[in-house]
Amino acid sequence: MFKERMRFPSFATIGFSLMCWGFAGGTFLSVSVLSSSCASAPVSTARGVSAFNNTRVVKTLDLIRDLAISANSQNPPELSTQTTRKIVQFHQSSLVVIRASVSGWQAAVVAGLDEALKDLPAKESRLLSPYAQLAKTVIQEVSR
Amino acid sequence: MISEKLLNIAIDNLPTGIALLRTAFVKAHPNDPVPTEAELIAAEQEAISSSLAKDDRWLASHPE
Repeated sequence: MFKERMRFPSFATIGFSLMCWGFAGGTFLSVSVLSSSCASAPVSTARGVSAFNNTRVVKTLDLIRDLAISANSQNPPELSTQTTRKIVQFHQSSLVVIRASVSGWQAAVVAGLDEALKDLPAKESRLLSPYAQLAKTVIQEVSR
Repeated sequence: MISEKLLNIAIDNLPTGIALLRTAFVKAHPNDPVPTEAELIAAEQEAISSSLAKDDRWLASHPE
């Protein structure tokens, strides 16, 4: 019953989601992804499933990169250019690894994410952590 | 002040956020056309290529 309702969100649900999106960042998204049944691949071939799942991960990593760039472009910046560069470079290398290896890239991407977020100032860490958790959750989901 | 900045960031990233919410919640209708494996692979490659291009643009405009 709960799952059925989650599949067809009302406008109030969407409005609440957007509010949380603004004020609680990716935390809500992490919870959403954890609590909802994730979409399954529309094809059954190994390469098709892999392409579908890889695209989902790429879009999630895009979210972290786009958030970092956006936060860096604020005046004054919410994220330093140095940290943003680390995130963009992590994103870039992750996508290169995903494209090159098709499968088996998960550990390398998670390790790269941890490395990129290591030793950040507390303010920047608070901003990025929910999104990093979201990415790890999605990667864990597609690894099953 | 901080809320205003967070709101700006949220607005900038709203399209991606909505797309992710759709991915998480919206299920395919039984009558929707099912993509082929080739289409899924093409979508994957396109997503990676366009995203890498954005990385390159940002890194080029913010040299170390």
